[in-house]
Amino acid sequence: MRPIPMPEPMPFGGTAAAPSPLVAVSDLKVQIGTDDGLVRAVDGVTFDVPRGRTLCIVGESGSGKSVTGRALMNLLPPSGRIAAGSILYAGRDGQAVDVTQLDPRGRQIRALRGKEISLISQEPMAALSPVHTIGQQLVPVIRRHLSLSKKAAQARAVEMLGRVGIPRPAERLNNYPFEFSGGMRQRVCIALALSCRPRLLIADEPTTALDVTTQANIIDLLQELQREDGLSILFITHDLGVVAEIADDVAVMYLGKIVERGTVDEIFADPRHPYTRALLKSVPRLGSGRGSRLAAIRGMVPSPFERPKGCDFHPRCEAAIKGVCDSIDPGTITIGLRRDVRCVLAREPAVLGGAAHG
Amino acid sequence: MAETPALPPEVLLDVRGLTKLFPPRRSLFQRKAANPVRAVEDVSFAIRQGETLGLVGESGCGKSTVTRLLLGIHQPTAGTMRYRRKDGGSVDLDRLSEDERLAYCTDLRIVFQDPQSSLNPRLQVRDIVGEVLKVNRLVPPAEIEAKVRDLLAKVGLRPEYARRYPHAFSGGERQRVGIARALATHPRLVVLDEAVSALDVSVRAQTLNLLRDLQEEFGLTYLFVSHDLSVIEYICDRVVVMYVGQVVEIATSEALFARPLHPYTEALLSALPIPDPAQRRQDRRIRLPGEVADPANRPSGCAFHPRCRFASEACRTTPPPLRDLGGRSVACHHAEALALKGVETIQTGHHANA
Repeated sequence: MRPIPMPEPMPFGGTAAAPSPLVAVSDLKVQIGTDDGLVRAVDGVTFDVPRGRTLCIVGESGSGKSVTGRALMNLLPPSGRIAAGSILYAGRDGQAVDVTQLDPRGRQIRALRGKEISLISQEPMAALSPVHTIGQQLVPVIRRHLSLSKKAAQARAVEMLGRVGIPRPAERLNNYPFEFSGGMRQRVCIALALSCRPRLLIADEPTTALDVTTQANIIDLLQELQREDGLSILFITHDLGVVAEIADDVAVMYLGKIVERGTVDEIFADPRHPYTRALLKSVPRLGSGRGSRLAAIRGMVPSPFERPKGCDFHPRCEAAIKGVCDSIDPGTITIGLRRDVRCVLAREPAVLGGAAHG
Repeated sequence: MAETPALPPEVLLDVRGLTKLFPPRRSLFQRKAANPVRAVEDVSFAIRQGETLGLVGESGCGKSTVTRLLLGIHQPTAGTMRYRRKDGGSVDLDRLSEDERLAYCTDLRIVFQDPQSSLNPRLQVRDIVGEVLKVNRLVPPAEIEAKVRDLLAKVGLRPEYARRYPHAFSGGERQRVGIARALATHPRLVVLDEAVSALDVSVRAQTLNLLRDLQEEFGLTYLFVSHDLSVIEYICDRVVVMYVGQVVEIATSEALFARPLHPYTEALLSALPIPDPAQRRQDRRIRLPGEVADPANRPSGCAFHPRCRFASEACRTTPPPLRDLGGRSVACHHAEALALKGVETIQTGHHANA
């Protein structure tokens, strides 16, 4: 059972009937300096992560989905900086912290990272130290954040490894990462990420490098842990199949902007942005056989230095209107509760019906 | 000449009993002698002319080793790879003389997974694509550039891109360059080794459509290696499923997806996420206990038995041979008795025969 959709985001300290979001991101802009100039990697995104639910950020490479995830921990590459916007995180004491205002190397953010907000990344081998045993990597983190004795921290580490489904956890504590398979390594990363009982887990393509059967097990595990702990998950992926499996809410990103936002059912059953529709149609579906051609999106994702005028998607859009989409930035149009679209067609439902094919 | 017995007329490549053992990896800290890695063991399948044969399996199943054996990157420990000669006879790809090998290099081409690392960053596209023409003297040097421009147009790139370097292209465009390079010599067989796996969703669809168009235009035969079953179903006529170095099932794409005969195939199908949130409330997934077996320590009997919910005593002791069953092949002792779920039955939650 999934919880019922929550009402509009509201200031922190909501009522029982209207729980407040755990994280509220507002007009976030992230710039990254490159040799070729400044890239607006995240260009004004607004969303929130409700408590105990999973928000999926979907996008292709270069959409800014990973940078958005890292920004929530104020964990950007040295050349990147948060240029504008706020990321309000609801602390356990009811006080909201604006993550963007914290020193990225300061005490406050370091108390949040790992303890309150945890990250699992795509490549578990890169997230683990190859020259330390699993225990050497788990135990100090637990001791630091939960103020436990070495013995208690060790017990907690064993408990966590057991919970993520690693057989003989007490023995495995003494193993090095290379002694684990890919799926087991990702389980170790999940154990590491969840060992300090965080309230928000940022999962950046955690299953992309894994085999399908392993991926299925990891998704099961995340859902189980969410049910037990009331964890909020920000799940970043390009795989619409995974989105359908795990998401409660979905935000679709394109060139640094959220082009559509809604519940998973709304996005799949009633996609309103032409990009979302095209993405859904371009995935081969099991059971559809060899007959039909795939409805591909024409062209490529443009380079961030050659942003089209008007709507970012218009050169690839089937429904683009000449003279409108190529000159006017559509802006974000709210079309329902926690439901918005960045497309001029959403303004006039009549136009949408006439101009969009299918 | 490495003449071998004649192939059936429809077959382009016939692989029989293909085996590749790698000597045990001995690391500095491991003193006990390990077993050899049985990367590929007794693999047999045939590729028919003009078809797309899918080779599917999870990491470590040996699918990449099979392609490397076909391309002569590794030498097989045992087995034959009989390939149809243009005059109708056949040769074993493992017993080619140096001259013959060069000839077959142009007839059997590969497109790699990663378009970033498989193109030389220091060469212009005209050299990347034209090199094989030059080396093999297939086209007079003066005509190479024109030929390359022609090839680029065929794969949907602007001919003037011939003077560009790989870094100036997006991932999808680079993969098109890789496809143009593979097609430059008019090959009969193209191995697509996870050729669309690294591409974004929207670009992947374009590339799959392109591959289908090119196949039709040039009468190509594809060996499509992938771990992605939805792509396999979309592009393949027949599918070979591998598990820990062995073939567990071969069937037409339609038959395999409608009704798998091997429990591993069924589990693979059920694990694939379906892009439809309405489906997820039904608990359709078959959860495989444990991990993919280690090819250096393959379980006794059927390699899949420790994870199989139908495993019996026979499965633990006797390796099941790959055998014919109603026009398809399966390596399972219990294939007749099992009523496994295919894709449609997974999606609707009802069994087709029920």
